[in-house]
Amino acid sequence: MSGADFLNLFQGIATMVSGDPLITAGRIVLIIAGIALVFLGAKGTLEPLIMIPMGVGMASVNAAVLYLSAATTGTIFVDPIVSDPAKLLDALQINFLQPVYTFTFSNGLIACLLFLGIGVITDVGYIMMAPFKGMLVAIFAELGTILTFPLAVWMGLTYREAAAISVVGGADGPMVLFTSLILAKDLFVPITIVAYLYLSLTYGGYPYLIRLLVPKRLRGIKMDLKNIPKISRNEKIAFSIITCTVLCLLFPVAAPLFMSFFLGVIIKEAGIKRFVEFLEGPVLYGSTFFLALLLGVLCEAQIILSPKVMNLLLLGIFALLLSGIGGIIGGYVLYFATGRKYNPVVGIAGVSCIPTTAKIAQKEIQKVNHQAIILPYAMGASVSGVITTAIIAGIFVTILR
Amino acid sequence: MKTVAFIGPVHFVALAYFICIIVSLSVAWFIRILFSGIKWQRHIAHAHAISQMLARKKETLEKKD
Repeated sequence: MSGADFLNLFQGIATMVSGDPLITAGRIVLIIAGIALVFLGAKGTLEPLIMIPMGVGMASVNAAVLYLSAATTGTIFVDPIVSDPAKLLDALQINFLQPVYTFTFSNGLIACLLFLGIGVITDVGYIMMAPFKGMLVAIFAELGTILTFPLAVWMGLTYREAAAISVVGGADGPMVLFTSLILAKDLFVPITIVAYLYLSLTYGGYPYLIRLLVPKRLRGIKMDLKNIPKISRNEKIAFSIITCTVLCLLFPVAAPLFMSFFLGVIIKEAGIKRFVEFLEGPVLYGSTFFLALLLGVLCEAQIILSPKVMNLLLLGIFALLLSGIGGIIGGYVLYFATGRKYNPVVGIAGVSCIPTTAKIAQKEIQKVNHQAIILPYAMGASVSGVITTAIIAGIFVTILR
Repeated sequence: MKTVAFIGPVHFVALAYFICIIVSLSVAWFIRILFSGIKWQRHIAHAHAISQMLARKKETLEKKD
């Protein structure tokens, strides 16, 4: 029995030894990265809901490469680039995650399911209590999206690709998935991976940005909670259905996302308990789990080692960093406009990433002043951020499609 | 798409941002209008209730007289 025959027994190792050295190195790096993500997720440094399934998927898919025929290698997880109907049928029968990928991921359904779940856990009352402040902060927090677009074009991406990567600045995972699926189908796998990876990093990175840009004495500012108007369920439902209809009328291409989000909100406000339990439990967490697992499985060395991915990594972090800075600038604008009564830290919540950024803002403020509660305002800015990101994604998709 | 290629990335993104600002502020404005409408309706209902109460009081006083 020769060494080659012996290696063929363990095809994961055989494909590593006989393959392109660059791909082999990429596979090893991605296996290590996957393991690291699992540990960082379990430790709570990164978002565990995304990072644990993603890390396991990433490590497994890069280890489990086998010979599909004498000359070709691949995995039996998922084939993201298959388009020929006959081959797709084969892939659906062989690759175990192909049905989930084809019927929920590649058509954007998973993004809509996530939005339904997000809608159910979102209280639009927060945006309704101070609509102009929330929207203003959210508009400033789109700075990353706006400045990344021309930069991406100058770095050689097409307008569509540039729009898809710049939406990362809106810090809304499902929105990035949706936009990249429509505008840059060839790049949607790396763009979505970059987006979710960085969105988890905001959890660890934004607190440092806050401490860097907002001095301690301003971080402790208490905001007025006494004059918050009470908003009834009917008012929330009226706002949701009218806003949904108007936004669908303006941007029909993004209508599935608008509809999913506001449907979730209306179901919650209407008090349909069974639907609420279904959407906030199985639908939201089921979609998050499969999304994260698929993202991990899509991190195959052959897909990830595209020359454009390095640029996407840089542009993604640039977009999120600038959006964070933009949000805080918005916070400062309101701080001065309201006679120093608005806590500038709330600005960071304008970067939607609901509800992570709002929680980060509250946590950072309470470290300085235990009595300061800004969560209602931060949630308002966060919900506004979802709406502005949906609007800007809708504009990009409508014009560039 | 063809038209967009002529205006350049900076102009395009400025246009997109401008539309985004207009639509976002319109949503905020719509919320304000909605609230004002609801408040106005509540005031009318309140005023109507007061006038009805006064009318009833007046009626009882007239009956007493």
